[in-house]
Amino acid sequence: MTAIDAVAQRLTPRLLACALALLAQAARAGDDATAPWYGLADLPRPGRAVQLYAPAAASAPAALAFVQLAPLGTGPATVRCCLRPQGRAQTADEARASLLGTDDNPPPALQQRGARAPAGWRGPALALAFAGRDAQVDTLSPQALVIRWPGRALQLKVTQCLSREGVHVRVTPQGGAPLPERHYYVALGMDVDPDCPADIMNPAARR
Amino acid sequence: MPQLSGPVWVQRFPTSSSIADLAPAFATAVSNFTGALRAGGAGVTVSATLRPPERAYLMHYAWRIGRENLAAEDAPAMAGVDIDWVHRDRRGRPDATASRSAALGMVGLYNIVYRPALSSRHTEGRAIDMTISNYSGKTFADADGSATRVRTAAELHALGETFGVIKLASDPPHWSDDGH
Repeated sequence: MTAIDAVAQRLTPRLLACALALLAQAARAGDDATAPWYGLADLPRPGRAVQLYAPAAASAPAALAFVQLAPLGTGPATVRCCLRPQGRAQTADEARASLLGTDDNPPPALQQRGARAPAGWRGPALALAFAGRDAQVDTLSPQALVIRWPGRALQLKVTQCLSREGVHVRVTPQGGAPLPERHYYVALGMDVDPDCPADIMNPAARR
Repeated sequence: MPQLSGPVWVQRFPTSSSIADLAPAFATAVSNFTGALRAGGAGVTVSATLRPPERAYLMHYAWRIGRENLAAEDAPAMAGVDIDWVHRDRRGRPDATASRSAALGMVGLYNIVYRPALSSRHTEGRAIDMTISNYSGKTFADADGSATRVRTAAELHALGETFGVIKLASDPPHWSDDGH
């Protein structure tokens, strides 16, 4: 046996193990190559239409689970069922909601469409709506939560804070294939006491 | 005679979208800025100018009583807003449940999901919310009349500053006389 053969013999099991691990990772990443559909839901008082906000390319399923972001509850957030999209998507009203980016990294266009709230729902509320009613939510703090789906590596971290007259909601995919963060802004139509960090209150450049 | 809190108050003291309702100096600055933008081919849509302090007061205390359990008796009065936050039972005793229910009704009609602030540049007539479109690549006259080519949001904000209309970067529609 040559020295090369001896080295190869020792390395083969490790290489095989590495290859198997890589294959398993690739399979998981395949499941998570795209995040489940998600978007912001503006649930006004009863009698007014729910509005869903999501990037233009996203096509919403017929029923969406949702987690209330505001008003903040006293206990952990829970997954509720269901919002049902209705009507055609149209360009979002920028005076109400937008996706934020920078001049160097402009955000995708945002669209809005109506939806029906579950029977007996009493708004108003702001929520994150998403596909997959089997999702689970972990409340990290009053302003942060994580949404995860059984059997998927990908999860969504959702944080929110207030600026002078709007709420910033950042949705950051974690754990699966790399996906971009979405930074939503919703104008509240009134003034609030801000609690956002400096990078949101005084960004270097924004559009 | 004071009027009990409830839905009737929500339609009063509406938010304005008229530039004329701003403080005079800022109204002039905004008129000049938006005039320059429109003359250069941009679109300007104003969504809010003056938010009356009375409205902010009503929203704030409706939230405090309805959502934060402030005793209705502890809500301070405001000149020009003859509201009675304290509902009473048949014997004339304060009814906390009825007071809170009426306040919650106002919260719902106002569509409030976060605690409203009592004062702001909007209540002072020193802020405007507007959406500016179709500005990129166009040339506008700045406050001195100099032709200024605008390509980016940052350049648009710099143009506004020459008029004394300052962008608040954290809130996309919001401009004011001091950036707050």
